[in-house]
Amino acid sequence: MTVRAWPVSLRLAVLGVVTAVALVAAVRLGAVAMTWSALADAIAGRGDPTTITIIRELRLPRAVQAALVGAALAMSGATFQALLRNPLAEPYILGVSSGAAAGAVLTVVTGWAARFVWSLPVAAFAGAVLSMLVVFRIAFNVGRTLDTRVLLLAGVVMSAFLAALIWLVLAFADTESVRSAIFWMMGSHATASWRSVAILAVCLAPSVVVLFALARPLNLFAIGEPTAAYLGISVERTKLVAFGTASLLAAASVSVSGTIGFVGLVVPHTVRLIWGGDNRSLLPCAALLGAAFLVAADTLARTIAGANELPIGIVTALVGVPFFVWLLRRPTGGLTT
Amino acid sequence: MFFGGRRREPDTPDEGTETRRRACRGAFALFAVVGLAACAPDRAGERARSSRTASADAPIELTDDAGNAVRLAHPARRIVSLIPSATETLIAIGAAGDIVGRTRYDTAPEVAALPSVGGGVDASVEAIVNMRPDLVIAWRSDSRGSTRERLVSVGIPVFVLKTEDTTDIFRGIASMGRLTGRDSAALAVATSVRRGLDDVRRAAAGRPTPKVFYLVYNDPPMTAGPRTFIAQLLSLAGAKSIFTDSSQLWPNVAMEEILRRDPDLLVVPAGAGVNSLDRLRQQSGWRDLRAVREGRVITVPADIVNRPSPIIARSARLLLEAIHPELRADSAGAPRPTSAPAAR
Amino acid sequence: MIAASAASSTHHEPRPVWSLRGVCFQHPGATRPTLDNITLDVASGRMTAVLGPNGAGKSTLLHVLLGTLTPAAGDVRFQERTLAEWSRKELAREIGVVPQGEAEPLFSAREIVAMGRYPYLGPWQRERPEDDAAIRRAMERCDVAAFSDRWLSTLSGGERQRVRLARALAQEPSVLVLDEPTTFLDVRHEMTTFALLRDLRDAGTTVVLATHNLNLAARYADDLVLMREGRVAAQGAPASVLTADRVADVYDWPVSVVPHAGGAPQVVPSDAPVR
Repeated sequence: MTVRAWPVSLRLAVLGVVTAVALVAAVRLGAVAMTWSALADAIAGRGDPTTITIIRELRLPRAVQAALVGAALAMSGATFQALLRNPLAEPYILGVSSGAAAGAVLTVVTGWAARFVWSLPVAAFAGAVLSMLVVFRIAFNVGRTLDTRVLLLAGVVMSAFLAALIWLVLAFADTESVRSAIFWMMGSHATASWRSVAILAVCLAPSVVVLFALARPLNLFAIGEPTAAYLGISVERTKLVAFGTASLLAAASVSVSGTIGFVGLVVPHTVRLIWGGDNRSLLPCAALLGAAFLVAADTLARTIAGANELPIGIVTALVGVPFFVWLLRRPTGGLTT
Repeated sequence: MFFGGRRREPDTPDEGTETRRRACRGAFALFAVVGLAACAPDRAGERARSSRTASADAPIELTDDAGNAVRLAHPARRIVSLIPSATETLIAIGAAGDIVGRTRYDTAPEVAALPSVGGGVDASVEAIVNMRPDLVIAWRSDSRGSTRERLVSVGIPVFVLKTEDTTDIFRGIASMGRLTGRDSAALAVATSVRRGLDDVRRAAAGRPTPKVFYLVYNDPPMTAGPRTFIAQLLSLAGAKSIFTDSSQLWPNVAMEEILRRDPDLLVVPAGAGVNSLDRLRQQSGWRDLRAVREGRVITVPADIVNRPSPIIARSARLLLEAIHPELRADSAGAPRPTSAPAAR
Repeated sequence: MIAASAASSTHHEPRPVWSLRGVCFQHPGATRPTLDNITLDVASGRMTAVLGPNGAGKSTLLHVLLGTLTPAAGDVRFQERTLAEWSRKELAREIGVVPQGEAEPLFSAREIVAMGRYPYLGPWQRERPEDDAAIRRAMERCDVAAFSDRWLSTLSGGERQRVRLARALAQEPSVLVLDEPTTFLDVRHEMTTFALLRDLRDAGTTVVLATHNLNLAARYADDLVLMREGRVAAQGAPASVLTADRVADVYDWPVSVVPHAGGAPQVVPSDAPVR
C-alpha cells in the first residue's frame, strides 16, 4: 500500500508514534548527559534530586509545551490556508505575530518583563488579540461581510506597521533590551513550566475542538465561499468563528514561545501533499506532525551547540526548508490549497 | 514566566519587611565602613581584622540589586556566576574555589577549566541546575528575567547584580563577601581598590582636564553615559567627558554633535594590536575631528577597562596614563601599586 | 421529493419552484439596476434556460434565486416560502448547484463528490451507507467513477466539471441549478451534459441553467428566459422566444433563425455588416 493510500487511522497511528519518539528523545537529550536508567528513575521520582528536577521541572514541561505549540501552529496554519484559499497563508498572517511582538517588546523595554515575569506573555497575548481585532475591523468596513481579500491585505499592512513601531522602540532602547527582544522574537521554549503548559492547554483545548467540528466547512471554504453556501454553510458566521479560533491559537502560541515561523506554513502543506486537503484528516495529522517537528527542533536547538541554545525559529527554518523543497520537487500533480 | 512554583517569598509580610530592613541596615553599615576606610586606611585595616563575620554555617540574608530578598542556609560554596565581573570579584576575595560554573564569556584563567553554561542572559538552565549550585549570580539587565524565574522556581537562590556605576561595584564586592562569608576579605579588596582610585585622583589633581570622548562604538557612534563606571573613572582620572548630559547608559550620539563639542582627546577601548588612530583616519566624520587630525587618539585595553569589578583601580590607572601621558614615564613619583589584590 | 413532483406534473399545473415578484438588485458601483423589476416563475419538473448577452444579469438572477444575493426590493419564494425562511442547510438539501468556476484544492474526485452529502451530516457524523450509495450513484451517472482516487488537479476541465455535476447530484436535490455549465467544454462533452440534464428532467428534477449556447438551450430546454439589461425580454417556449427580430434586438447583432429537425429554432448569426 502506498503511503498515499493509508487509511486515516493508520496515518494517525504512525504520526502518533513519531510524536512519542520525539518526546522521548526530547527528555533523554539535553545539555546534561543522561542514561536510560537514570531517565526512568528520574521520571518515577527516584534517585538524584537534581536529575529529577532537570527531567521533571525543566525538560518535560518544555517538551510538552513545544508539542502543544507545534500542534497549535500547524492547525492554525491549516485553517488559514483553507479560509484564505492561499498557499502562503500561515498563522501570523493577520498581524498576530507583530501584535504579540509589540506587546512583548514594550514590556521588555519598559522593564516590566524583568519585574513581573508574567507580564510579557500577557502583553504579547493582548497585543496579538488587539492586532487581530483591528484587522477584522478594517475588513468589516468594506461591505458588511468579512471580505477575505481585504482581510489578507489588512493583515499584511498591519504587520508592516507594527514591525516599524517595534523597530522604532528598539532604536531608542538600551542594548540589553534590544538583545532580549530579538531573542524573544526568534522563539524559545526555555521559559516553559508546568504552569505555563497548563494554561496553554486550557486555552488550546476548546479551540482544537471547535476546529475539528469545522473540518467539513473548512473543506468547503477551500473550494469557495459561494460553494460553501450552496452546500449548507452559514458563510459569514462560520468564517468569523474559524478566523477567530485560528487566530486565538496563534496568539496563545506566540505569547508563550515567541514567533516561531515556518511550522504553521509548511507542516499543513506537507500533510496535504501526501494525503490531500480533507481537513477531517489534515487537521489531526498536521497537529501531530507539527508537535513532533517542533519538539525535535527544540531538542536540536538545545543540544547542537553544547550548553549554548539556539533560538528555535532558526532551527525550524534551517531544517524545514530543505525538507520542504524536496517534497515540492516530487511529482505530486502540483501544489494548490 | 508565570508565577514560579516554589518562589522564595517570606512567609509573612512582616517577616519580609523585617528581613529587608535588616538586610538594608547590614548593607548600609558595610558601605559606611568601606567609606570610612577610604578616608583613613589604617583605621579600616584594624576594623577589618576585628569584624569577623559569623561562623561558616550561619544563614545569610541579603537583598539583591533588584530588590529581591535572597536567603542562603550557609555561605555559598557552589556558585555559578553568569556575570564575568562578578566572577572576577569572587576570585579577588579568595572565593575562586567556590565557583562551579562559568559562562562562555568568562576569560579568567582560574575558571577556565570549569564547564560553561552558555551565555549570560541565555544560559542553559538545565546545565546550571546540573551543577547543583547553592547560589547563582545573575544580570539585572536581563530584560526578560526568565533565567532567574526558572532557577528560583526549582529552588536555587539567585542574586541579581547591577553593574552600572562605581557604587554598584563596591556594593557588589561587599555582597559577594557577604554571600560567601568572606566579609573581611571583601573589605580588604574594597579598601585596596578605593586606595588605588584615590591615588589616581591625587595624581590627576592640579593637572589640566582635557575634553574627552570615550568611543565605545563608531557606527553609529556610541559612548559611555555619565551614569556608567567608565565615565566616573574618566572624571576621576582628570578628564572632562563631552557628553555629561545624557540619561542613557550607553547613548548613541550624532557625529555632528561630537564634531561640535570638539573633544581634545579620543579614548578608544580596543583589543591588543588594534591601531585605532589609523582606522579613524579613514572614516568619514571621524577623520574631520581635530583630535584625530592631531593624532590624539589613545587606545586602552578593552578587556581591562570594560569590567566593572575590582580591576577598576587598574583601569583608572590606565585611563590616567592615557589622558596624562606624562605620568606614564614618571615612575619616581608614582603612588604605590594599584592593581587589584588578586592573582590574575 | 423527486417522485412527488413527477406524479404531480401529470395531474395539474404544478406549483412553481420559484416565484419572483418585482425583484430589483443593483451591484454597488453599477450605473443601472442589474435586475430591474423582475417578475418570473420557474416551473417545477421542467428545464428552464436563462439566456442573454453579457451583463444582462443572468448570473445575478441565479444568485438571487439561490439566496446568495439579497434583492433590494421584491419578493423571492422558493417552494412557496420566502428565502429568508429557509436555512442554508435546508436549501442545500433541495438545490444542487454547479457553479461556473471554483478553486481547485488538493482533493480527490470522490472527496469532492462526497461534499454533496455534507448538508445531511452533523459535524461529528461519519458517512453512512446511504451516503456512500448516493455518492457512488452520482459518480456513475456522470461517468467519473474511474477518477475516484485521482486528485482534481490531474483531471481535464471537462472532467472536473463532471465531478462538480456529480457533487450536485449526490445532494439528491429536487432542483439543479447550473451556471454556464458547458462554456469550456468541447462538442462531445457539451452534448453528453445536455443529454444528462434531459434525463434528470425526465426523472422529475427541476433544472435551471444559465448559458450562452442558444441553440442547445432551444433544443433541450422547456422554457427560455431571455434577459436584456436587467429585464426579462421574453419568456416561454423556445419557438416563441427565439425569433430573429427579438434575438437581433437583444443581442444587438443580426441573426436569422432556422428550424431544427426536432422542431426547435436554431439561431444563425449573420456576418459582420459591411461598412
